[in-house]
Amino acid sequence: MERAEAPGGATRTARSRGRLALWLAVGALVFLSLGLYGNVHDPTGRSLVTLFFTQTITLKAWLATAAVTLALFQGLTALRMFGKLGRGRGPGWVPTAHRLSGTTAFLITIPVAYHCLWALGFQYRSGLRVLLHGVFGCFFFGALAAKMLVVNSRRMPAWALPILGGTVFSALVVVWATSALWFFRTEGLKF
Amino acid sequence: MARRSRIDRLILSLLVAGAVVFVLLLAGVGSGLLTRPTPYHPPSPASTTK
Repeated sequence: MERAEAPGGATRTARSRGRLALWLAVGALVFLSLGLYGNVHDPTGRSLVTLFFTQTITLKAWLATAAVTLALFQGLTALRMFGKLGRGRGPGWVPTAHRLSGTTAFLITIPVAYHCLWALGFQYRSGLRVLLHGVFGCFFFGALAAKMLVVNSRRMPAWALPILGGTVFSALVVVWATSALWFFRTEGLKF
Repeated sequence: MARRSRIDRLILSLLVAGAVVFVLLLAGVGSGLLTRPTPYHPPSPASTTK
Protein backbone atom coordinates (compact mmCIF):
# COMPACT_ATOMS: atom_id res chain seq x y z
CA MET A 1 0.00 0.00 0.00
CA GLU A 2 2.78 2.40 0.87
CA ARG A 3 4.41 1.85 -2.51
CA ALA A 4 1.15 2.64 -4.31
CA GLU A 5 0.76 5.88 -2.39
CA ALA A 6 4.31 7.05 -2.86
CA PRO A 7 5.14 9.07 -5.99
CA GLY A 8 6.73 6.84 -8.66
CA GLY A 9 9.87 8.95 -8.87
CA ALA A 10 10.51 8.73 -5.15
CA THR A 11 10.08 4.96 -5.19
CA ARG A 12 12.53 4.60 -8.07
CA THR A 13 15.03 6.86 -6.31
CA ALA A 14 14.79 4.83 -3.13
CA ARG A 15 15.25 1.60 -5.09
CA SER A 16 18.26 2.90 -7.00
CA ARG A 17 19.86 4.15 -3.81
CA GLY A 18 19.24 0.81 -2.17
CA ARG A 19 20.82 -1.00 -5.11
CA LEU A 20 23.78 1.38 -5.04
CA ALA A 21 24.25 0.67 -1.33
CA LEU A 22 24.15 -3.05 -2.10
CA TRP A 23 26.81 -2.76 -4.82
CA LEU A 24 29.00 -0.67 -2.52
CA ALA A 25 28.61 -3.35 0.15
CA VAL A 26 29.70 -6.00 -2.37
CA GLY A 27 32.74 -3.87 -3.20
CA ALA A 28 33.55 -3.52 0.49
CA LEU A 29 33.23 -7.29 0.86
CA VAL A 30 35.70 -7.85 -2.00
CA PHE A 31 38.10 -5.33 -0.44
CA LEU A 32 37.93 -7.00 2.98
CA SER A 33 38.08 -10.53 1.56
CA LEU A 34 41.30 -9.84 -0.33
CA GLY A 35 42.84 -8.15 2.70
CA LEU A 36 41.89 -11.04 4.96
CA TYR A 37 43.13 -13.57 2.41
CA GLY A 38 46.48 -11.79 2.18
CA ASN A 39 46.68 -11.78 5.96
CA VAL A 40 45.80 -15.40 6.71
CA HIS A 41 47.36 -17.03 3.65
CA ASP A 42 50.88 -18.37 4.16
CA PRO A 43 53.03 -16.62 1.54
CA THR A 44 54.61 -19.12 -0.83
CA GLY A 45 57.58 -16.90 -1.68
CA ARG A 46 57.60 -18.28 -5.22
CA SER A 47 58.49 -16.29 -8.32
CA LEU A 48 56.13 -15.48 -11.13
CA VAL A 49 56.82 -16.70 -14.65
CA THR A 50 58.75 -13.85 -16.26
CA LEU A 51 57.76 -14.30 -19.93
CA PHE A 52 60.31 -12.19 -21.83
CA PHE A 53 61.30 -10.11 -18.80
CA THR A 54 64.45 -10.83 -16.80
CA GLN A 55 62.88 -10.86 -13.32
CA THR A 56 59.51 -11.23 -11.62
CA ILE A 57 59.67 -7.67 -10.33
CA THR A 58 60.26 -6.17 -13.78
CA LEU A 59 57.35 -8.14 -15.22
CA LYS A 60 55.09 -6.89 -12.43
CA ALA A 61 56.32 -3.30 -12.71
CA TRP A 62 55.73 -3.15 -16.46
CA LEU A 63 52.35 -4.87 -16.30
CA ALA A 64 51.29 -2.39 -13.61
CA THR A 65 52.55 0.48 -15.79
CA ALA A 66 50.56 -0.86 -18.74
CA ALA A 67 47.46 -1.06 -16.54
CA VAL A 68 47.89 2.54 -15.36
CA THR A 69 48.40 3.71 -18.94
CA LEU A 70 45.19 1.97 -19.99
CA ALA A 71 43.42 3.45 -16.95
CA LEU A 72 44.58 6.91 -18.03
CA PHE A 73 43.10 6.24 -21.47
CA GLN A 74 39.94 5.11 -19.70
CA GLY A 75 39.76 8.37 -17.78
CA LEU A 76 40.15 10.42 -20.97
CA THR A 77 37.53 8.40 -22.86
CA ALA A 78 35.17 8.66 -19.89
CA LEU A 79 35.55 12.46 -19.89
CA ARG A 80 34.84 12.41 -23.64
CA MET A 81 31.73 10.26 -23.18
CA PHE A 82 30.41 12.53 -20.45
CA GLY A 83 30.95 15.57 -22.67
CA LYS A 84 33.67 17.03 -20.43
CA LEU A 85 36.42 16.81 -23.04
CA GLY A 86 35.95 18.31 -26.48
CA ARG A 87 32.61 18.91 -28.14
CA GLY A 88 29.75 16.49 -27.71
CA ARG A 89 30.14 12.92 -26.55
CA GLY A 90 32.74 11.84 -29.07
CA PRO A 91 32.67 9.35 -31.94
CA GLY A 92 30.86 6.02 -31.69
CA TRP A 93 34.00 3.98 -31.06
CA VAL A 94 34.81 5.78 -27.81
CA PRO A 95 32.50 3.77 -25.49
CA THR A 96 33.75 0.46 -26.93
CA ALA A 97 37.37 1.58 -26.63
CA HIS A 98 36.63 2.65 -23.06
CA ARG A 99 35.24 -0.77 -22.14
CA LEU A 100 37.95 -2.72 -23.96
CA SER A 101 40.77 -0.74 -22.38
CA GLY A 102 39.25 -1.16 -18.93
CA THR A 103 38.80 -4.88 -19.41
CA THR A 104 42.38 -5.23 -20.63
CA ALA A 105 43.65 -3.22 -17.66
CA PHE A 106 41.75 -5.51 -15.28
CA LEU A 107 43.09 -8.67 -16.95
CA ILE A 108 46.64 -7.28 -16.80
CA THR A 109 46.38 -6.62 -13.07
CA ILE A 110 45.35 -10.21 -12.29
CA PRO A 111 48.79 -11.90 -12.45
CA VAL A 112 50.34 -8.95 -10.59
CA ALA A 113 47.79 -8.97 -7.77
CA TYR A 114 47.81 -12.75 -7.68
CA HIS A 115 51.56 -12.82 -7.12
CA CYS A 116 51.36 -10.12 -4.44
CA LEU A 117 48.68 -12.00 -2.51
CA TRP A 118 49.85 -15.55 -3.20
CA ALA A 119 53.61 -15.18 -2.84
CA LEU A 120 53.96 -12.22 -0.48
CA GLY A 121 50.69 -11.77 1.41
CA PHE A 122 49.50 -8.65 3.17
CA GLN A 123 52.49 -7.03 4.87
CA TYR A 124 51.78 -4.34 7.43
CA ARG A 125 55.15 -4.31 9.17
CA SER A 126 57.32 -3.48 6.18
CA GLY A 127 56.95 0.29 6.12
CA LEU A 128 54.40 2.84 4.96
CA ARG A 129 54.93 2.25 1.23
CA VAL A 130 54.24 -1.47 1.47
CA LEU A 131 51.27 -0.89 3.79
CA LEU A 132 49.71 1.65 1.41
CA HIS A 133 50.37 -0.68 -1.52
CA GLY A 134 48.60 -3.55 0.21
CA VAL A 135 45.60 -1.54 1.40
CA PHE A 136 45.04 0.27 -1.89
CA GLY A 137 45.67 -2.92 -3.87
CA CYS A 138 42.79 -4.63 -2.08
CA PHE A 139 40.70 -1.44 -2.21
CA PHE A 140 41.23 -1.18 -5.98
CA PHE A 141 39.57 -4.53 -6.62
CA GLY A 142 36.71 -3.72 -4.24
CA ALA A 143 36.09 -0.36 -5.91
CA LEU A 144 36.37 -1.98 -9.34
CA ALA A 145 33.81 -4.64 -8.41
CA ALA A 146 31.39 -1.93 -7.19
CA LYS A 147 31.97 0.14 -10.32
CA MET A 148 31.31 -2.79 -12.64
CA LEU A 149 28.08 -3.59 -10.82
CA VAL A 150 26.96 0.05 -10.96
CA VAL A 151 27.81 0.45 -14.65
CA ASN A 152 25.67 -2.60 -15.48
CA SER A 153 22.71 -1.38 -13.40
CA ARG A 154 19.95 0.89 -14.59
CA ARG A 155 18.79 4.09 -12.92
CA MET A 156 21.83 4.62 -10.73
CA PRO A 157 22.34 8.13 -9.33
CA ALA A 158 24.14 10.23 -11.97
CA TRP A 159 27.04 10.98 -9.64
CA ALA A 160 27.75 7.35 -8.76
CA LEU A 161 29.62 6.29 -11.88
CA PRO A 162 32.02 9.26 -12.18
CA ILE A 163 32.85 9.04 -8.48
CA LEU A 164 33.41 5.29 -8.58
CA GLY A 165 35.42 5.54 -11.80
CA GLY A 166 37.59 8.26 -10.30
CA THR A 167 38.02 6.21 -7.14
CA VAL A 168 39.13 3.12 -9.09
CA PHE A 169 41.57 5.20 -11.13
CA SER A 170 42.99 6.95 -8.05
CA ALA A 171 43.42 3.65 -6.21
CA LEU A 172 45.28 2.15 -9.16
CA VAL A 173 47.57 5.18 -9.37
CA VAL A 174 48.43 4.82 -5.66
CA VAL A 175 49.09 1.08 -6.13
CA TRP A 176 51.32 1.81 -9.12
CA ALA A 177 53.14 4.71 -7.43
CA THR A 178 53.93 2.59 -4.36
CA SER A 179 55.30 -0.28 -6.45
CA ALA A 180 56.28 0.18 -10.09
CA LEU A 181 57.09 3.89 -9.88
CA TRP A 182 59.07 3.29 -6.67
CA PHE A 183 60.94 0.43 -8.36
CA PHE A 184 61.79 2.44 -11.48
CA ARG A 185 62.96 5.38 -9.38
CA THR A 186 65.10 3.08 -7.23
CA GLU A 187 66.44 0.71 -9.86
CA GLY A 188 66.04 2.59 -13.11
CA LEU A 189 64.10 1.38 -16.15
CA LYS A 190 64.79 -2.34 -16.32
CA PHE A 191 63.20 -5.06 -18.36
CA MET B 1 23.85 -2.31 -33.08
CA ALA B 2 24.10 -6.09 -33.11
CA ARG B 3 27.89 -5.82 -33.44
CA ARG B 4 28.08 -3.56 -30.43
CA SER B 5 26.02 -6.01 -28.41
CA ARG B 6 28.40 -8.82 -29.33
CA ILE B 7 31.36 -6.72 -28.23
CA ASP B 8 29.62 -5.88 -24.98
CA ARG B 9 28.88 -9.55 -24.36
CA LEU B 10 32.51 -10.42 -25.11
CA ILE B 11 33.73 -7.74 -22.70
CA LEU B 12 31.38 -8.95 -19.98
CA SER B 13 32.49 -12.54 -20.55
CA LEU B 14 36.16 -11.53 -20.29
CA LEU B 15 35.51 -9.64 -17.06
CA VAL B 16 33.66 -12.54 -15.49
CA ALA B 17 36.27 -15.05 -16.71
CA GLY B 18 39.05 -12.86 -15.32
CA ALA B 19 37.36 -12.65 -11.94
CA VAL B 20 36.81 -16.42 -11.86
CA VAL B 21 40.44 -17.14 -12.84
CA PHE B 22 41.64 -14.70 -10.16
CA VAL B 23 39.61 -16.46 -7.47
CA LEU B 24 40.71 -19.90 -8.68
CA LEU B 25 44.36 -18.85 -8.67
CA LEU B 26 44.05 -17.51 -5.13
CA ALA B 27 42.43 -20.80 -4.16
CA GLY B 28 45.52 -22.57 -5.49
CA VAL B 29 43.98 -23.96 -8.65
CA GLY B 30 46.49 -23.78 -11.50
CA SER B 31 48.95 -21.69 -9.54
CA GLY B 32 51.79 -23.85 -10.90
CA LEU B 33 51.11 -22.46 -14.36
CA LEU B 34 51.95 -18.92 -13.33
CA THR B 35 54.61 -19.42 -10.68
CA ARG B 36 58.05 -20.99 -10.48
CA PRO B 37 59.69 -22.59 -7.43
CA THR B 38 62.49 -20.01 -7.54
CA PRO B 39 62.35 -18.00 -4.29
CA TYR B 40 61.17 -14.44 -4.73
CA HIS B 41 62.45 -11.63 -2.53
CA PRO B 42 60.73 -8.28 -3.01
CA PRO B 43 63.11 -5.37 -3.50
CA SER B 44 63.78 -3.12 -0.55
CA PRO B 45 65.76 0.11 -0.19
CA ALA B 46 68.52 -1.87 1.56
CA SER B 47 68.82 -4.47 -1.20
CA THR B 48 67.25 -3.25 -4.38
CA THR B 49 68.67 -5.81 -6.80
CA LYS B 50 66.26 -8.72 -6.99
